[in-house]
Amino acid sequence: MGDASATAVATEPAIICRGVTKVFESDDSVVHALRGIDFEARPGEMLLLVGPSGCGKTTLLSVVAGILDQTAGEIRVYGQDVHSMKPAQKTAFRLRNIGFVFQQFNLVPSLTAAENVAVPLLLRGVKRAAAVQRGRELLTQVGLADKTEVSPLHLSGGQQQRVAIARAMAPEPRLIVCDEPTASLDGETGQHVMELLKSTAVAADRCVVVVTHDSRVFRFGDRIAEMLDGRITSIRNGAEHG
Amino acid sequence: MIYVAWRMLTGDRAKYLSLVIGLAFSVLLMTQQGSIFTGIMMRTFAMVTDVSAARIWVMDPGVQYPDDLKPMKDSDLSRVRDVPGVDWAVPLFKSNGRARTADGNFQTVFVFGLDSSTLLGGPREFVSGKLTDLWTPDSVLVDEAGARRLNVKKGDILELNDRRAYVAGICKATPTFTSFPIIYTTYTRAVKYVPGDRRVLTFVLCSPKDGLSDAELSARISKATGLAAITKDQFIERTLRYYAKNTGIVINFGMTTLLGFVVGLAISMQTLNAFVLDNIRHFGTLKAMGATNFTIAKMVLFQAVVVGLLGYGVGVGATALFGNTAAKNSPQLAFKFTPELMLIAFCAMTLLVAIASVLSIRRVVKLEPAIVFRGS
Ligand SMILES: Nc1ncnc2c1ncn2[C@@H]1O[C@H](COP(=O)(O)OP(=O)(O)OP(=O)(O)O)[C@@H](O)[C@H]1O
Ligand SMILES: [Mg+2]
Repeated sequence: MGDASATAVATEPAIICRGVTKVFESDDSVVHALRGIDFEARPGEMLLLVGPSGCGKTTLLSVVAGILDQTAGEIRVYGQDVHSMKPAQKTAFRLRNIGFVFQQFNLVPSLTAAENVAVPLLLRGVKRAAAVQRGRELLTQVGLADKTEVSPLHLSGGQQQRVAIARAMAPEPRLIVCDEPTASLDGETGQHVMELLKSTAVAADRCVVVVTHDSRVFRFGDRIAEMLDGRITSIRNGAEHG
Repeated sequence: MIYVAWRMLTGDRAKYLSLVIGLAFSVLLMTQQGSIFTGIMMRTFAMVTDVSAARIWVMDPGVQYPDDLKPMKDSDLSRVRDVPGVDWAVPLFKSNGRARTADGNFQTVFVFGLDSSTLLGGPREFVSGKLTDLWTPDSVLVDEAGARRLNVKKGDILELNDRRAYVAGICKATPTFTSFPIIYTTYTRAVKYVPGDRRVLTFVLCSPKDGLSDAELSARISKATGLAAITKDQFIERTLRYYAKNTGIVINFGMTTLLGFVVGLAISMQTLNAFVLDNIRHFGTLKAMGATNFTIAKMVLFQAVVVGLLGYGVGVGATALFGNTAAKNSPQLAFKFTPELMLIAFCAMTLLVAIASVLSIRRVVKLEPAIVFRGS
């Protein structure tokens, strides 16, 4: 980290969304995926985005993460207006601030687990030996100390998702976005992965946003935002907060 | 990230190999066709390069290529010798003849008659025998490929124009374009080995005195004698121009070589594109994580260059191996893999890789990172 603005305004929200809309237009159809989204997320919390299929969860996660442009409205991530940035700045912003976890893990099979974790560090220009060493340390943190030199092909789904979480944490981002991180896993493994996200990925200066439709993992959320048809219908505190 | 690109490329052995083999194949196609083309073209002027001592060739002005035999007058030799600046000038007789082999078959041959005292213009490498063996009565030398064709070896007897010829040795010579056997003998003997009407001087070989350039002397000889006096290079050029203009060789080989290039382009574009497509999810993930287009382009380019270089190496190696093996088994095969061809193939490969990677890079540059969250 060491980002001056982060420490200076420690209580600043991680995410602010104001009136965010997203319309997908093609020749024969217009889809209003987001119809005016307002919410905030704070550093140190895990926010779940839940709702039925097609309600816009992935779309919202994508615009917040800066890989998709909203149609209207304002999004600030740690005070920065990503939408107004030039493409190159946006890319650099993601590199510095955002970690990604995917349903299908998206690990490179020809790299070892440690090398996969090292990729975001390599992108930042860290030397290979140092980056891979850091990868090993992070894998130890997620309980895979004995799998550092193994290809993801030889890991179970749960183990692969742990590698992916370690990779997301590697560049010490201030926001980690996860789209259905447990959907490809069985119930128990999904619980372990959520536990790991909650215990390791969430930090005082880091916010984790998880899209899920798996009600068995709702209890891990500090807050749960319910979506329906492109809108957030309610935001409530998670079960563990009573 | 180059390291990551390298691992992505080599991680899947089968795909990696098929990429390299695809490119190697197109290089093989191009260089192999090119080598045969070069080999055939070099045969058309083989006489000029084989007779290396001759720096200037004097001939009838109508002669367009080495097998285009037009007679000169015997007195032309002394007229050439009289031109100031000529160091030496010797006659070279060349004609078609008919050889009758031991088993009774007839075969058209080229008969070369060398200046009897100097033997200038004769072969330099021998499988058996030596050049001065031509000084023994009735002796001739036969080129290696021709000897095989005539089925003779050192010590055998040939019949040339109803005259006995003793095969005193087998020499090495570039096979002729028409693959007729080459028979070397002395000038005086050669004229007896061919029918009467062909017993005339065909070429005069000469060399300038020290300090005089080939071009200067050839101009002088032309002017003084009215004959065509041209340098070795000019003769080669004249020959190539003739074959290019009057035969379909250049067009035909040009087409196959071009085909090799086009097939190579299609293969390399297809395989490289397929490789990028196979990895599109990874490239998308990298872009989402903050890889710039520049970084991704470098990765794709690196991968293309690696397979390009390997494909080039394997392809060139395969062509050389093919040439070696084939040449060993059949000396008739015209095959000449030159450094120039290797360079041309390298440039072609570079062009292929450049085109293929530009197309692939466009693909990844256009790629929306948002695809990473869409269903798989
Ligand atoms: N690139 C796109 N082009 C057109 N329409 C799109 C695109 N992406 C999403 N949509 C549409 O936007 C709406 C919201 O999609 P989104 O993927 O955000 O839903 P979701 O809540 O993530 O659903 P799921 O739970 O099935 O993943 C859907 O109607 C979808 O068809
Ligand atoms: Mg979704």
